[in-house]
Parts: sequence; structure tokens; C-alpha cells
Amino acid sequence: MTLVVTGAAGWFGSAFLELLAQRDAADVRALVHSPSDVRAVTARLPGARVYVGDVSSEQDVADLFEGLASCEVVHAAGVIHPAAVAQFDRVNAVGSRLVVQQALRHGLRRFVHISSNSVVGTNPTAEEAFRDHEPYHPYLEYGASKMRGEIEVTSALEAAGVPGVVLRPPWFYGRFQPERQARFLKTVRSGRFPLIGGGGNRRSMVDVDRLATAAWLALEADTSGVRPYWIADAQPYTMTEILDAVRQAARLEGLAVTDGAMRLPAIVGPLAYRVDATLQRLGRYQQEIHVAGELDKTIACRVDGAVRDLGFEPATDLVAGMRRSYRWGLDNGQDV
Amino acid sequence: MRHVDALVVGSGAGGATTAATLAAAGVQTLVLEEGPDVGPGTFRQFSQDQMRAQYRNRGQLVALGLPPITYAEGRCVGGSTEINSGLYHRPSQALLEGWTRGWSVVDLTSEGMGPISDAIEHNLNVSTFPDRVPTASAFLASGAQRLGWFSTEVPRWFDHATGRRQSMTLTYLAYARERGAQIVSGAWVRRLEIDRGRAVAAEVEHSDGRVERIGFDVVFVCGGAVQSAALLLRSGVRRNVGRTLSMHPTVKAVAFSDLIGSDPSDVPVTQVREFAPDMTIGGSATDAPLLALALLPTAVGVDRVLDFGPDAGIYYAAIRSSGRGRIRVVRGMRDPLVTFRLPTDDFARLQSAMGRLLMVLLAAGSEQVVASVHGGQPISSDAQIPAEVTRMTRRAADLMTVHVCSSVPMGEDREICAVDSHGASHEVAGVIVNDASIVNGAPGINPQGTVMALAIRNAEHFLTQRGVHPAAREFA
Repeated sequence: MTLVVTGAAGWFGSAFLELLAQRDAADVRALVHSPSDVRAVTARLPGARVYVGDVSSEQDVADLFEGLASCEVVHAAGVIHPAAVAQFDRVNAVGSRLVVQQALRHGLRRFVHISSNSVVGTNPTAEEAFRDHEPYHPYLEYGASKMRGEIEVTSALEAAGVPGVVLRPPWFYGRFQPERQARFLKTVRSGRFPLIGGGGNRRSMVDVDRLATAAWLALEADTSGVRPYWIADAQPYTMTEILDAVRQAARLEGLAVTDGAMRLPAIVGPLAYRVDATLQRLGRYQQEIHVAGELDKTIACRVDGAVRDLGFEPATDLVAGMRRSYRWGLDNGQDV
Repeated sequence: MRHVDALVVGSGAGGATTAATLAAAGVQTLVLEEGPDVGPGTFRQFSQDQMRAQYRNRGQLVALGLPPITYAEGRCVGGSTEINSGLYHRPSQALLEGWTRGWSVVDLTSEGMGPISDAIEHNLNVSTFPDRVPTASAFLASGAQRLGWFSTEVPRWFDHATGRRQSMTLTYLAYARERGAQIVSGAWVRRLEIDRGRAVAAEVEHSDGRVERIGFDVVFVCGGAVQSAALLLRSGVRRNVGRTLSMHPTVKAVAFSDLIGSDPSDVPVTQVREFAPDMTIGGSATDAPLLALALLPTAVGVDRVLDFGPDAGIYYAAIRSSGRGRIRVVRGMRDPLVTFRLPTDDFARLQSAMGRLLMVLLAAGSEQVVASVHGGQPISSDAQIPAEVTRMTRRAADLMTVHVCSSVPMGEDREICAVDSHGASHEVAGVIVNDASIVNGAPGINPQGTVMALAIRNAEHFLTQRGVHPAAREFA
């Protein structure tokens, strides 16, 4: 049986491929977006067959599954900070449809879909945490495209009677972090993080290595039907706790830390949200404004479903996790 | 002028228990009820006829605001207990502790309240269905189970052997009468007369137009959260009165499915309490006229109910709102003006509640679900939920509530409270407020059990202070 992994060079994909190498996974096809990603993928999982292609191209996705008699899929290809809003739908929704359709034509046994917290938006109160089953309430265009992706996958699998698992991770941390996360670490450490409101809003976060393990568990599990699971650390953190953990991790890694943050009044959050929403309606995407609009929100979830059904073990030590983030950044030449 | 030891204004959950406690201890007690004495079982539950006879303003009351919130009150002997669903919760420890913390209520513990609740549950035969819950309730439970959301059968006061609701007329009012209390219906108290800081008499208007003054040693004001506050305001008792009305704003949706199997005598007992006490989902009615009313604002024609037959039900989601309402008396108008300001965060929570309501009804196997929202469209899949939630703007929302309370807050903190920890006015002697008005904040549960337990506690405290021993709480 062949395991097909899309988004193999991404933040999650990198951690997942390394996990596959540890588990001696033999028959893996990996889709990456750019020829420059090929080397990293083969370095992590030497036996993998790497395909370069666009997940929203019918031909590229057909090539990825060409000749397979039976397969499992971990579909992680997605775009979160695009150059233009139109990419959201093309990659996250259309791409998901093409992948699940091709997989079903090639003896699909099980499908693991990497989704996002954005499909259900933000919590109605700062005290509450999302359950696995929550009504769709997508957060702007990214959330809407991830929702359409989930619906494409879920309805295709249900129609075909093939089991699947939708994993909804919130904000990542840990190894393989992209530049935007390195910037986050740097701004916190240098006391320049824009803290909007009081910092009492809560955010769930997930250690990317634990997420990789969860995807593996989801492949191995024998759950039937298709259902979503939150994959995150055991407890949500307040924004203040997150900043404290980052600073503490930096100190333990021997880095200079400037305490404090750039405190901004609560009104900045809704303002940034409105500007972001307006820009997105115009088809434009501005990463800093998008992130600012989200910073004061509570996005908290419960992981008891994944613990119970998948045997997932959530992380409990954010400081240790953030230390791994710093170390990986330093080892890989990032300005953290 | 007639004179009584104790005058009880109102005969609902608060007034009936107050009257029974006083009369059983030998206090001469007169109960005045504004509404008629209809008698239990005269009208079918939630029927149009019942609304005409036993509801205030035929069940159509509005707290003004954006959005306005409609609410209902009983106006008959027995008050709202004659018309509600009869669901029962005892007040939780967390709720009582919250009052002690937030309002400085003293002498309020679950150790003290527990035995009172035990007696109430015995007297009203609080129980669950002996075998299985009605189909409309089972329908909601099955949806919750599919989603992994906790749901439960809420017990109610019901005699399953006789099929009779154990409302106040059959229980505490009957008991009060047996012990010598007099109950007069069709008697509206215009105002209380206050003489040198003490309430001494009530000016009463009878339904035949006769006006009478009735003197008393003490008056228990038990007209419900809106009417009690209004009576105090009309009587010049104003400090912290009518400024903190609280409620559970509620959204509804109509589910169509032959699994609902409408039964006119159906009582909705399943509550989804996964998100309680902040958000609760339940069922209300399967009655065709009420279904039509719920569909009225939507894009679905009312005749849909007739086409589909009886297999449809109204379900609701309620939140605990931190918003506050105001009760104002207007010269020349008998009914007070009620306003309620729903905070932005609460409106977002109501939208979230609507999403969850639609989701659980779809999970239960509804063929179609319609959010009771202006322009609401029938939906049949989860993917259609966001559009209906987005449609629910402040202008398009159709909100209701059945639980209004907290208009005369109770506690020792005189900055925010109108009455002390046992309901006695901080401002005027001889006035004890003893109904939903003193349930501080929105409790997140059906409040009747809390109202009754508080009322008995306060009436007993009144007796004890006068050296009178309260009688046994359980009916003989």
C-alpha cells in the first residue's frame, strides 16, 4: 500500500516525513510545490518518490496517483498566507477535491485531512473551548476555503464509504518553523510583540511533532466514517502565558530577552479585523494585518476526542516546546 | 379598611410557596392575584385558548431594544407555573456561591437550601419519565449523541400516574388554602401605601372595577420580575429597583422530520447541557400555531406547516446574558415599559448558539431545518449553517425569553441591591420581595426551582424572626 503525502515540504509535512523515516515507512509518494523543495524531502525520507506539482492542477494530481492500486493519503497541502485571496480557494478547496477524487480512483483505504481551527472561527467566550463537533463558522477567506476543502473531502469519502479523519490543528510551534514564526519569536524576545487588549484571551497551540504523530495515529486508527478531531496541546494558554513561555524558553537557550511588549489598546484588534476583511473582499491579502486582527481572539479547543479515539498524547510543556523552536531556528540560521 | 397579617401579591412559584409557608405556621394570609382563576387542565398546554386566558397580553410581551426580545408571563392563579414546561432544576452550589461573592448574600448555602429543595421535589413529585422520553425529546437527544454533546432528561414536576402537571394550583396554593389562606383572583395592586418608611396598605383594583384598601403588617411582593419591580416603582420604592433585569435570550429553529412525531401533549424534557450553564439547547413545542409563529419571519411560508403535517418541532438555544434590562413605569399605562440591551459579545454568542442549534437538529436527522430569523431559508446540510448564522444580524434576529429575573437584586451590598439577603427591602420596612426578582443575574437553568426554594427560605426566615416556628415543609 502506498502512502501519498501532499504538502510534504511544509511545516507539518517536514515533521511528518521525518516521523515516517523513523517508522521505516517504505512506499511513500510525496507532493511538493517547487523543485527547490525536492532535496529537503529526500533528505528527510530517502526512500520517498517526490512529485513536483500544483495540488490545484488536475494533471499534476493525476500524475501523483498514476498507477496506484491501493493507497492511503495524508493531505496537508494548503495555503495560509497567500499572495492573493484567490489562491485560498484554488489550493485549499479545489486542491482537496482533486486529491480525494484521484485517491478514490486508486483504491483509497483511508484519508487523513489536515484542516484548521479557522473553519469554526473564534470562541464565543474567552472561557469556552471548542468541541470536536462544532458548526462551521469560517474565519474570513482562509477559513471559508478550508471549510470548502473539508466539505469536499467529507462528502466524497462518505459517498464512497471510505473512512477518513479530519485533523484540526490550531497555531503551530516547534521545529521546521517558517520565517513568520521566527519573526514571532524574535519580536517577543525583543519586547516588541504587539499585545492587543489585556492578553487574557486564550489560544490553543500545537507542537508540530505531536501533530505529525497524530496524523500517523489517524492513519493507524480503525475509526469508521469521517469525523473531525482537534489536535493541540492539552490545555489552551492565555496570550500572556504564551509570551511568558517564549521569553522563558529564550532565556534557557541563553538568548538575551527584553521583557514587556508593545501594548496596544483593545480597539486595535477589531480595527485590524475590519481592514483585513475589507482587503480580502477586494481580493487582497496582507499578512501583518491579518495576524493583528486575530491576536486578541480566543481560539481554544479540547482534545479529549483525539485522546480517546486516536490515542493521541497532547503536549503539556510549552516552555520545552518553545526551546525546541529556538534551537531549531538557531541551528538553521533563522533570526529568532 | 380590611387588615391582614400578611398580604401576598401574586400567586406564582414565589407567591404560592410564600403563602403556604406562612399559612401553615398560622399566619393570617391573603393572596391577591391579578389574573383569573382558571383551574389546571382547563386548556391544552401552549394552546391559543390558554394564551388568551392565562398569559399576560396573550403571551406577547416585548423587552424593547435592538433586537427586541419577546417574553411571556403567566397571568392567572398559579402564575407561570400553570403555563410553563414544568422543568425543574435545583439551584447549584456554584450559583449560590456566585451570589454570595457578587452581591454579598449571607446565610445562603447548599446545606441550608438542600433540605428545602428536597421538600419541594417531594411535594411536586419531581421525576423523570418512567420509561422513555417523548419522541420530540428523543430526537434532540439523538442529535446530541451523534455529536458527542452531553444531553440529559430534565426532571419535571409531573404525576405520571394521573398525567397531571403539579402546578401551584394543585400543590402549594391548595395547601395554603387548606391551612386557611385566602386567595382572591382578579385583584390588581395599584400601589403600596408607605407611611413613615413602612408599607402599611395596598390599593387594590378588583376586576369588577371596585377599588379597595387592604392594610397589612407585612407584604410579600411576588408578581414576577417585571410586575414586582413595577409595583415597587409605582409605590415610590426606587433604589436599585428595575435596573438589572436579567434573562436568557433565546433563538429558535424549526426542524422538519417524521422522527419528531408531534404529540400535542408532548413535553420537551431533553436539554443539551454540553455548554451549560452559559448555553443550553432544548425543545419547546410541536403545536401547529406555534410552529406557524416560529416560521412567520422566515422565507418559509407558514403553510409549510400545514403541508408537512405535524412532524415538525420548535427547538431553542438560550444563553446566559450579561446584559441588563430596565423596567420603567409610565404614567397612565398599566403595564411597565421594559427595555433590554444585549451586549455585542452576547449577540456573538447567540449567533454561535444558533449555529449549534442548527447543527444538532441536522445531526438528529432533520430533513430540513429553518432558523427563526427574518428571511431564514430551509437548510439540509452543515455547509449551509454559516449563511443562516450570518443572516442573523441584530435587525434580522427573532429573539425570545421565558426566564426574566433579577430586577430587585438581593444581598447586603446596598450599592447594588434593593433587598437584603432574605428579600426584605433596604429602603422600606414591611416589604419582602419573594419571587424571580431576587434571583440575581441569569442563572442558566429553568429558574422555578430556585424561585421556590428562595421563597420558602425567606418566608421561614420572616417567621423565625417573629418567634414563629415554621411548619413541616413536606405536605402531610
